[in-house]
Amino acid sequence: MKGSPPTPAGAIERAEEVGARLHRLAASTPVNEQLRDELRARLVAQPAAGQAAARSRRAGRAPVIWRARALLAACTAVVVLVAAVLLFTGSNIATARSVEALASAELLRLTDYNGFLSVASAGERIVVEKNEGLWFLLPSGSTQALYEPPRGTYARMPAVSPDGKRVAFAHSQPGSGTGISIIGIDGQGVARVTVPASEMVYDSFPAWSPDGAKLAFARAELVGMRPVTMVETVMLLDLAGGEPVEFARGSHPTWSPDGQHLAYSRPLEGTDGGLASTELVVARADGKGAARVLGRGDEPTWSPSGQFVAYAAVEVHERVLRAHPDGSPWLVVQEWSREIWAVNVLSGERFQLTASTPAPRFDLAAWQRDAEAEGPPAEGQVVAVVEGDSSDWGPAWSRDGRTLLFIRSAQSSWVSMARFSVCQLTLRFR
Amino acid sequence: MDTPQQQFARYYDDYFARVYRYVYRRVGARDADDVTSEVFTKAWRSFGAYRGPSFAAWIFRIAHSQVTDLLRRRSRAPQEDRDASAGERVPAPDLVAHVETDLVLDGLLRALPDYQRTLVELRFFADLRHADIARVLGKTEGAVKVALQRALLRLHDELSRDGEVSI
Repeated sequence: MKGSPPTPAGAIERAEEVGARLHRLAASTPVNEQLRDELRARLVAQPAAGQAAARSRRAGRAPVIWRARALLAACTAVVVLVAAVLLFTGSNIATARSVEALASAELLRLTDYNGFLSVASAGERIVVEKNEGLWFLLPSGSTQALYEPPRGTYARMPAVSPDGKRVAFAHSQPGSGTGISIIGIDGQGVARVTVPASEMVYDSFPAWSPDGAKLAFARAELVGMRPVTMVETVMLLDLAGGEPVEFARGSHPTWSPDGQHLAYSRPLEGTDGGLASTELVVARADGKGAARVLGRGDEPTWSPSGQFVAYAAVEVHERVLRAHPDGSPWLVVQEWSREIWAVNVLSGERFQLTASTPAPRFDLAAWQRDAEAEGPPAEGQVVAVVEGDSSDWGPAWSRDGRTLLFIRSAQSSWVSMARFSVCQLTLRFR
Repeated sequence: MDTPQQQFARYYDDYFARVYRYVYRRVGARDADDVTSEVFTKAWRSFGAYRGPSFAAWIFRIAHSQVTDLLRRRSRAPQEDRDASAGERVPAPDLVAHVETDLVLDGLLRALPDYQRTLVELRFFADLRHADIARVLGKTEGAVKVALQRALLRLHDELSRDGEVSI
C-alpha cells in the first residue's frame, strides 16, 4: 500500500485470534428456541398482518400527503416570490461581496430513515442519494428512481456533470472496494471509472471540473494496524484516459467555476481529521503554488459565481462540570453543532446561513445527578455528547447559484437519526 | 412471487438466532425474550414499508434502538432495579456448566467502552458485515473497520495482560 506505515508483525494474527475466541463465545450464547417457535407462530401465522398494516398506511396516507403537498406548494410559492423579488431588485450575484439566507424550505422529509443522504443539483431537477441508490426529487415532494444498484452494493454521493447529462457517484462492488462510476441522467449505461485494488480503499465525493473533462474525488485508505488510521487524499482523474493521480491530502474536493482552483477540506495539524477538526483549503488545480487556508470547516462547495465557498461548520464546545483532586476533568459535557456557512474566497469574510437549534432533548441535569451519585472514575473522564435538536450539513449549490441545498438531521440519540430533511435556502447577495 | 408472510418468515428464520444473541448480550437473560419479541413484532408491523437494501441492517437497526431504549430506561431506574440487572453480568451457573463460556473474554468485552462493545457485539454476535454495522450505527464503513480493529487489539492487550494469550 503506497505510503502506508509498515504493519506490525503479527497484529493481524492477534486480532484474528481474539476474533476466533469471540466467535466461540457468540456460539455459546443461548437462544430461546421455545420463544422462536411461539413468536413465529404468533407473527407469521397472522394472516396478512404486514399487508393489513401496509394497506392501513396507504389508506391513511392520503390526507398526510395532501397536507405535505400543500405545505410544499406553500414553500415553493414563497421561494418563487422571493426569487422574483430578487430578480426585480437587481441583485447581482456576479459582483456580490456578501450573502445571506432569506428563506428556508423543506423539500423532502424522511422519518425513521435507515441510511445515508446527500443531494446534488441537476438544473431544474435535484438528485438525492437515499436508501443507497440515486433518486430524482420531484417538485411534488415524491422521489423517482434514477439508479437502484443491485442488492449488497450501493450508489452514493451523486455529482451531476456540468452539461447535466451524466451523474458521477461512489459505487461499491463486492470484492473490490468502492470506486467512482458514471451513469447517464436517464439511468442508462453505468460505467466504472475507478476500480480500487483493495477492499480497504473507498473513492467518494466526486466533483466534476467545469468543462466536464476531469473528476476530482477523495480516496480514503485504511493504513497501518496499530493504530489503524484512515488517510484521505484528493485525487484527480482525466476522463479521457489514464489513472487517478494524487493531488493533496484531504477530502470533499470542489472546483472553482473557471476550473483554475480546487477547494477541499483537510485534517487540522495534529488531529485525525474527525468531526470539528478539518480546515478548508484552496489550491491551484495545476498543483503549483502554495495552498491557502480559508479557515475551519468541512464539506466545501464552490458557488457557480465564484466568490463564495459554502461549507458545513462543525463546532464543539466542551464544559468541565467536575474535576479530579489533581485538577484533571472527570465529568465533561461536549455540545456539538453543525451549521451551514459561506466564506468569501477573496476577503475571507464569513456568513452564517443556517443556525442549529440549541435546545437539547437530553436531560443533562438527570445525567449529571446520576454520574455524580456514582462518583468519579478511577481514571479518565465521563463525557456526555449533546447535540442540538437539528444539525445542517452537505451543502450543494443550485446551478444558477441563487439557492443552496443542504441536509438537516434531527438526532434522537448517539446512534439513531430520527429524521432527515432535504432543505433549500433562498439567498440574497449584496 | 412470495407473499409478505412468506418473505418475512424466511427472514425471521434466518435472523432470529442472530438477533436473540445480540439482544441477550446487550440486555441479559432477564429481558432478552421481551426485547427480541418486541423487535420482531415491530419489524413485522412495518414490513410493508421495508424497501431494503439490507434486511440485516434494517432489523438490527430496530434491535439496536430497542436495546438502547431499554438501557436508557434502566440507567434511570431505581437502584434496586439496576442491581438486579447487574446481577446478570455473568452467565447463570447452570449455563456455565453446560457450555464452555469464555468468562475472561466475556468480562473484558463487557468492560469495553460502550461504542467499542457495541461494534464487537454487532460483528461477532449479530454476525453483521462491516457495511451493515455502518448502516446500523450511522457511521462510514471505514470508520467501523478502524474502530473494530482498535477494539480487537485492545481486547488482545487485556487478554495478554491476564496471561490469556501469547504475545
